[in-house]
Amino acid sequence: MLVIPLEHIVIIAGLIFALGLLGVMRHTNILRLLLAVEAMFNAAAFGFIGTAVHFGHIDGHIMFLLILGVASAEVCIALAIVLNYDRLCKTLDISLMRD
Amino acid sequence: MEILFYFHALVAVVSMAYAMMVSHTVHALLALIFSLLSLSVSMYIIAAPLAAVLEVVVYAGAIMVLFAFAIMLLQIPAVGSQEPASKASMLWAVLACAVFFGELGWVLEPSMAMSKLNQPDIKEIAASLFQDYGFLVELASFVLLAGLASAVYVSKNLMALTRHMGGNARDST
Repeated sequence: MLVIPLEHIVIIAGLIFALGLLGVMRHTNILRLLLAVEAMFNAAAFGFIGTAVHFGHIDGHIMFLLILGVASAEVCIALAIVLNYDRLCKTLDISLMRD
Repeated sequence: MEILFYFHALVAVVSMAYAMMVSHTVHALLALIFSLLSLSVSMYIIAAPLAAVLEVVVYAGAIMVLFAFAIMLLQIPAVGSQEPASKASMLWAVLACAVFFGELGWVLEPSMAMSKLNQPDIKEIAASLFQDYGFLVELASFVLLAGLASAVYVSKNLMALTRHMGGNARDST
């Protein structure tokens, strides 16, 4: 039986989340920000899965499905807004977004 | 099997770091897809096959492809060199392919089959989803419906905008 310590899974999820946070803070391009947010979503989902497997509960799998749904809805709206913003302002830089 | 888990987790973290650091958006997208695929292998190894499959199908397959479509529609001007890949990157690609096929051979061996002890039954998950978590499922369906409605609304707005600025050079639609 394969046993990976829960700490290691949480550390990996935390590392990926930290990288996503770094990406959010580092970039000003909206698409890159969305990619970084996806990375953070994914880290959270991985943490849920690791915990669910470790404790033998089903709740973590359910939360993974919910995160999947929320992430896809968020990306769908955000990309439509990004396309609109690009048509209007001819840029993807959010530091230029004033009004 | 532990070493496979740690190897894939390491690959996921490194490629995620590359995705956050690289300046080219398409390279970042591809590195993120690679990271998601490695993470899904890690999930499979810790006995969560449903999550692994959904990760590949929905995350890497649908959401990232949506990003690729958005990048194509946005017509981001290319930065960096347009020349074919260098020798070093070809070497890395060949190495990655070799690792992948080696791993495939290793995993396909019957002795490496995943233990069925700890993994949840998909029927069990489905029953729990529609019995204990019915409210959450309804909530998720509302979120998806709201996403659908607002995407349709925003894209109608986009079409009107595009028609309005018909003579613009950046509009290809």
